[in-house]
Amino acid sequence: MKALLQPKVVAALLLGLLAGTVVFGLILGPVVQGSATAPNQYQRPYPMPHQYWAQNDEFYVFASGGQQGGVYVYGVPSMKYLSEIPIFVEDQAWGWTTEDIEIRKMLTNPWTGELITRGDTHHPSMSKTDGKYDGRWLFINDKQHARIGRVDLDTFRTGQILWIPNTTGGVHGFNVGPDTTLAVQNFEHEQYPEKAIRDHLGLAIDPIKGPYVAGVAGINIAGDGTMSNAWQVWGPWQFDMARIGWGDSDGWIMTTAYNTERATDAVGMFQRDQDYLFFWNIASIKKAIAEKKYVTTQQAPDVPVVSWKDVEVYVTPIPLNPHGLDISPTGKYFLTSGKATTLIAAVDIEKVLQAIKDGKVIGEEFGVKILDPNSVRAATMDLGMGPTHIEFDDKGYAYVGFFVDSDIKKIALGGPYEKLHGQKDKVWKVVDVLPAHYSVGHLVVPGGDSAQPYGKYIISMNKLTKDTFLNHGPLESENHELFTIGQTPAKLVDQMPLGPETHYSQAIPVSLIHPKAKHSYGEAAALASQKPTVEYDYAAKEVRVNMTVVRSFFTPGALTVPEGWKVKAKLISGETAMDISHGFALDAYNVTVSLDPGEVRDIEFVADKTGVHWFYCIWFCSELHMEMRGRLIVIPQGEWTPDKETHLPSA
Amino acid sequence: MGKGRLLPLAAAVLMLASLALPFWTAKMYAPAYPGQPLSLQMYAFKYQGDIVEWNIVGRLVGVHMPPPIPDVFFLLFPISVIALSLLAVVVALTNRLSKLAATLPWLFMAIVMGWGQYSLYLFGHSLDPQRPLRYFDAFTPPVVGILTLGKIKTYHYPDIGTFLFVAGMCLLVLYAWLLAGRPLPKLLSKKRNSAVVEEQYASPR
Repeated sequence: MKALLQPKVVAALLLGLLAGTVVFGLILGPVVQGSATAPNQYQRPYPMPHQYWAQNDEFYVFASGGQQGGVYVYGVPSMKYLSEIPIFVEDQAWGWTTEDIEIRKMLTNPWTGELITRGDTHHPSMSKTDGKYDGRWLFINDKQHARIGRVDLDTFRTGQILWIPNTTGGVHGFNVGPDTTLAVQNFEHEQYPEKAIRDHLGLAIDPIKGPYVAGVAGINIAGDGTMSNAWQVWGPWQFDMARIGWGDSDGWIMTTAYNTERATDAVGMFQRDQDYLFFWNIASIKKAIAEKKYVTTQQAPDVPVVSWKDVEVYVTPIPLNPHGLDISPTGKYFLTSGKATTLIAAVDIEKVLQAIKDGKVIGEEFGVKILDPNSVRAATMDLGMGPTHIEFDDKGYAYVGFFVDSDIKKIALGGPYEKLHGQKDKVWKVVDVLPAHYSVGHLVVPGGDSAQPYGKYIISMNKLTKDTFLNHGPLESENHELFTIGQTPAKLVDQMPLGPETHYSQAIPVSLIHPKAKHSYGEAAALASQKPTVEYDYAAKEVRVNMTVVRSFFTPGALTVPEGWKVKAKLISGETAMDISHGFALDAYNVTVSLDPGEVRDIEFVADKTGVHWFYCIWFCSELHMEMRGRLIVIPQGEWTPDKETHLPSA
Repeated sequence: MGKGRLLPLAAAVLMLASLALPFWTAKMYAPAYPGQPLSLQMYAFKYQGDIVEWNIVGRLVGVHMPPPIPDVFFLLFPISVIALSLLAVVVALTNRLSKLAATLPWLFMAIVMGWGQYSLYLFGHSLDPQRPLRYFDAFTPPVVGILTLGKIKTYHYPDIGTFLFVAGMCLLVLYAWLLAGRPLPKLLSKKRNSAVVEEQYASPR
């Protein structure tokens, strides 16, 4: 027995026990591709190993699609386009069509019943925890129809669309707060609202001549991401950009207005010397609602509408026709750019709060106190023509885009940021100029609009592409330019065309998204237990079908329907394997539906065309993809008899 | 009870432990599943693994998972393992039936492997005559080994449950050897002579 307890014997026995399984596992385990070497990390290795970018991309970018109506998704630094996520516009290539009852409901105006399939996505805003990106959801607004979409970042699929009441559309600035419980949406286009709002505001509003009114909408976000309309504050002005403060500016909403002139034409909107930056105290809005100082409208009886007169709000003059409004990482500075000028104002929230306390007021407009700009600004910078938007990095710098100058100026921030960049003599001054091709709109630094910028890169979302790429017709794509900013000067890494017209983006570390992204909506065992069924309802004139869809068969493979009946089909994907999507496209009908692994979709359409119509799988799923089809047989009225019903073989 | 009885007791524990672990695994690597092989594991009382996915693709080539084996197999298997474990305990307590305990598990494993191989033979020779894809005709996956069909490679190997069970088997063989008074192989012995062995392991017959 003692012989067996010798260390070498024990070790040999243990090794023998484990060796077989471990060795098999190592032999049969996938070979991991190592990174190929290249002269620098931004150069493509040649030959390129498989999965190179899957292993080397550092950030996802979710870029607003503008008229594309959703978002584009791509990787950084690869600048590889990955996908599109449709939200407000139908897109059958990415599985977003209104044959699906749930999608149809999302895109239907809840007050008029009209199906709206046009949209204009502008400002995405990531969900956050303690002011930092957390990768749960991406929210984005539709400027044209005043809606907010929520994209679930485990499925990369739109989960909810919230319609904002009391406006005909024309919203712009949108921002999710630091703890994802509140978001704000500005009304950019002035409104002639319902009488209840007009009376409550007490302002003279001529429907033809104007001037009109507008507001800021607050949106509640629940713990599961469900959005609901919380409140609206209306006043004499329209609002462009909006930010919910955090850190030093916690408890405040900041908005800009580029039309404090209250004009109705473009020239008129530039007639003042300056415009305003607004500070709205969130607690005062809630207090006004608690004290019942609000009205509601016929359209939205659940949404309190508060007058600006009943909340705590201040303004301070800022350079004319502000375009950008962005908050520095600690929440201390608000940088606004006056696109009609060459000026950027850096407003300090600590000075703002002190000015409020000390009564540093230079006047009033519509009863709103105007804070002395000299008391609230940290700096006014004269930087160039046509400033647009601003982003921040993790080293104490701000980046300002310029449309007319077609460049980006890198500024060293002052105050608490001096110790980060160590360039005391360069505070509020330009330290680098990045050429843009051409005409910068928005900028994005990963995390650059949050309490935790990740830095390292900046993407210039240029409005004009011109000669950057191969010619591709009069309507040109947009140019997203990637620069590295870890050094000065910044260096151009890549340029990527995207569809017109992207606006803002959010860039988030891969580690916050990639591990959680799902490949299937369901579990294999549960899906395998779903059985196909067919039911004919002669009273409702409906055929209800549960159709299983799995390589490479539709079951039932043929369906007979009396002419004119509604077909309500539940399409059930039995797949869980990665990248095995199916679809259902019906010849001669306006029906095309995508079906991802494990997905269940409810669709309905009217069988109003007689004859034999094939439906087929739309994504190449297997060797039998071409043969993966079935028949919809629509029997003319008068020829239908119950014996023609489809019957499934019993299990 | 001498310390030597720890051997059959340890064997009993190992054999019982094997019931909770897979005895045999098949892993299929194919271009359609990069980095994510389909796996099938056989436990003493069931098959487990990517059976649903295997059948989705298997339907196209005429195979059906898991390999055909009657339900009684998964009844007799765990009962046999438990019975053999109890036999090891009896050996530990009484020093009797050591030779039976040393040989029966080997017979058991031989039957299991033979039955498993037959099941795999049936699996590969019962292709659905209406299968859409005719890439291959009948085939026989080995119980232990590699099956290659074009670019699809399936590895079949005994898993940790088998290793634990076999370790228990080996301990029973060793104990029977010692009880029979035979000297230990040089690797396991430390300057022993037959007299010492006889003294330590003499059974109280």
